[in-house]
Amino acid sequence: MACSKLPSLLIVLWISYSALSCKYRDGNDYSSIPDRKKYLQYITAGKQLYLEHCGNCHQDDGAGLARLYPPLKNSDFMNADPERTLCIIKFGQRGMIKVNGVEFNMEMPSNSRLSGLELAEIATYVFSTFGNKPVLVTPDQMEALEPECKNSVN
Amino acid sequence: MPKYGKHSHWSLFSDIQAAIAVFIFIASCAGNHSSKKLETFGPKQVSPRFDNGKTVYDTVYHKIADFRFYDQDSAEITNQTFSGKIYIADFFFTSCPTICPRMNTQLLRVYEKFRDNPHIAILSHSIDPYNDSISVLKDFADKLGVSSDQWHFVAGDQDKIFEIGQKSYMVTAMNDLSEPGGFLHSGALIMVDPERRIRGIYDGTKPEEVDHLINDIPNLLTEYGMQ
Repeated sequence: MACSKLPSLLIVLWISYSALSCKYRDGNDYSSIPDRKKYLQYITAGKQLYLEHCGNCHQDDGAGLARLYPPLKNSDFMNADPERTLCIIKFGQRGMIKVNGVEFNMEMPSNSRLSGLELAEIATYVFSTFGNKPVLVTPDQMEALEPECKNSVN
Repeated sequence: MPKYGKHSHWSLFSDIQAAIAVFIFIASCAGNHSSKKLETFGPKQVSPRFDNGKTVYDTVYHKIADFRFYDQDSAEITNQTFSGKIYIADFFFTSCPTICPRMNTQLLRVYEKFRDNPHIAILSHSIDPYNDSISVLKDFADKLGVSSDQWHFVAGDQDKIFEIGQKSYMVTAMNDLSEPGGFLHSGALIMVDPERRIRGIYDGTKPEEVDHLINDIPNLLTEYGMQ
């Protein structure tokens, strides 16, 4: 009797372990993201917005284009200072920057006509897809950014 | 029994025949497809002329008008630059925040594919000559990493660029302040043959359309005995 219940007990244990564990199949640790449903919504909406507003230059796969448009994928510049990256997403970028050892100096237009929510969705998608760890960026964070943040970029 | 056997023999023979016929048919279709003659775009006119006392009717095809622009090396670029060549034309501007970078990415694929082929050239017209000076175009081409022998980035009188865009290459190129960047322009890549005729128009923002362009170029090279 006890033996026949063992398989189902193991399944229950395995399910509870999977649910409690923060490691997902992609190997990322999502423990910093309590609201995973919202995160997935942001990623989905962010992808569409990224393709429309960012993919033209940074390319759909985030690889950038030659020495014209910097890559976002595995970009040391992007990961080094996430706050600076959020500022650039919202207000654009002017002047020389160095990404993965390569100098870039094309002007990036501002995206301030997009809403805080849209910017947060883009930033969530960009960091989670091309960055080094999944992040949920909130609309409040994007709305709180002031144009002065650009002064810290260069 | 022998009758049946004979019938069976013939039936087998005709099966093989049919199979060969189907194979030849498929092979010839595939062959035709890969070396199909590309159509000629634009309005055509029939023009009569006298030849040995007879009236002969020639089809006159739409042709790219005369032009004279300057490229990233300050070199004068005219129709003569593309004499005996096939070239791909497009319209863009360096500060374009919308479709141009996608077009450049795709054109770069064409460039890489036909790099150093003396019969293939690319002509990118800037529709924003006020910002895109020769030095800006030079910097842009250098950063894209392309050779000025094969890929010319040209600027010139804006009205002339718009005019040749609309009338010769049959694409949209105009000022429009409501558009991001201030211009309304198409993402078309236009393939021009050595007789200045348009032989293909492709959406330069779509990789699969540019695949067609890359496949069509060898057909046109073959048509002109250039490969």
